[in-house]
Amino acid sequence: MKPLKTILSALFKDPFTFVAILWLAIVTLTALFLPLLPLELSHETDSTVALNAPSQEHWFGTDALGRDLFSRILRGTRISIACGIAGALTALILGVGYGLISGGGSDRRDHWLMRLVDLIDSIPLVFLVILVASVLRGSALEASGGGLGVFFVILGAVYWTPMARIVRGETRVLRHREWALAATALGVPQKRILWREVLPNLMPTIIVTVTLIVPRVLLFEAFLSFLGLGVQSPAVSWGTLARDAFEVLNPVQTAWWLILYPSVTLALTLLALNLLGDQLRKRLDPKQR
Amino acid sequence: MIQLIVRRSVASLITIWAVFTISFLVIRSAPGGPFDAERDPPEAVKAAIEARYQLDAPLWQQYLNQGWSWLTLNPGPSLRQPDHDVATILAAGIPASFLLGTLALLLGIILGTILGVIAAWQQDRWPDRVITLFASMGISLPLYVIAGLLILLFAFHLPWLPPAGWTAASSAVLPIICLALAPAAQVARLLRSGLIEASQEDYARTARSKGRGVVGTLLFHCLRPASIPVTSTLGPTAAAMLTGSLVIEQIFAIPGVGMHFIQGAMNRDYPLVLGAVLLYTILLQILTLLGDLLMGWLDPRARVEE
Repeated sequence: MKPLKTILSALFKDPFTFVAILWLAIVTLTALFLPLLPLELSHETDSTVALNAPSQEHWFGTDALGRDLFSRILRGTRISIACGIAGALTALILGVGYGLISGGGSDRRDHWLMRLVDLIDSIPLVFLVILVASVLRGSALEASGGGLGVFFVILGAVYWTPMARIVRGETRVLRHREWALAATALGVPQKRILWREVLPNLMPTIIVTVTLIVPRVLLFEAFLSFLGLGVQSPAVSWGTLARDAFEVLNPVQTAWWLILYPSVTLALTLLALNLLGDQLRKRLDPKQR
Repeated sequence: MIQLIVRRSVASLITIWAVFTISFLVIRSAPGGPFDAERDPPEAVKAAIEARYQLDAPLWQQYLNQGWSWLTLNPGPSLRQPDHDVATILAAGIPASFLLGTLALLLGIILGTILGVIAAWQQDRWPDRVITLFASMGISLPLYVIAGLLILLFAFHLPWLPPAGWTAASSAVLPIICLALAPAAQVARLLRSGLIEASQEDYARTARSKGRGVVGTLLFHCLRPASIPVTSTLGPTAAAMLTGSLVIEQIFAIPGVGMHFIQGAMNRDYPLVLGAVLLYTILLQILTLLGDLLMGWLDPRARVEE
């Protein structure tokens, strides 16, 4: 693996990737430090300014209840980014753990664990998730605020199988390399070899896969929230903002800003993540270099 | 061939059974019953309701009963519309969803093929770059963003098409286009790279040296091998379109299966939701099997391996 510095400087040299990283940094920092930012954010409803077009006072316009859209997008950023990160982390832990156990074990165990993944992959999880979301609706868990946490885990649980497959495949290759065999010959236990020798060598692959899982989780969050089954009011995410926009969509008064700004924010983030993932893959994956 | 169909059908049945079992367990493990939102009914009424929906039987008996009633296509009434059978409600949504899905898939394949061939033919020139950009946007953007922009443009800014509804033929145009864009982008991208790869093979060079033009070589010699990767993603593409149809039916107010599904999920109408989940699962299994059969026809190597 190339030193981190070389990879980073190569990434920063490409202007598109640089802009993508810049955008992602802005979005993430906003999500993290929103309460500390010197911005005047108002979340008050004010019927006198309902559905106002973008102006000096309200940069992105106002929604049907007169709330400032710019403030709402910033607030939505927190939850959307949290969903992306939490979902990717869940997928990371489940996928890497499962992949190591499957790829590092006996052929028999590997076979059955992979058949289980095949079965899970053949299930249309999106529809099951909608079922789970409908079960969670209005339940005691959701009322206590735990709903959002469950939601994060669900998002990650959908996308862990590709990670498990990739890690499992690489593990099976790596544990038969000379250095792994040498360690076995020296009497190092298999678990330790997997954890201390194989796992660090998997890092490039894992980083690339995680970068590409985050946009998928973001998309899925937006999808569920748009249908009204994801993040629940009063919490805001980029998906619920789009849902609000479509609710007031009519030909008499076109509130185009309500659709445009949340969509563009999400779209830019998705494009930036996909671009960064592709670039990382080019630099980190030995097969692609 | 027959062996393949049998084996895949058995795998599909296992999947469908797994989906049913997981759904059943999820619904039954829900904290509180589906009637908790109502005002506390008298004990007798509650018992009568539970008896009607068999909520008072032991769990394994409920599981067997439900399994049997779904197998015989007689799943019983919906929770929120007690006068209507779940099967009837879903069946009423099928024509609209079927029409929307089939036309969108057809349009997606045709559009994707045309764009893919143009991109491969004009490789690294501006038409290729435009198509590649379009394809990566079509894959990475959420459907509601695309639908929202198209509605703003073609329904409000230029009042050519109705923004919602499912009455006139013109009202079907926007939803079909929206739903077709993602598969078109997917097909175009895969076909482009497949065609470029195939055009460097020996048989393509032979065709060129025989005097066949560039486009002719692509269409008559490279298209068939290049369409193998496209076919192999038919299953995931179909799955993506089914999810997409949920959003599209919501946005354009189309009375299809997806609309009933989401409505049921919002109302916690479990029998209806379970029915829709099973319907989508079965449909997806059939489409995946069709994709595999098509692939065996396109690529003899896939046949031998199976």
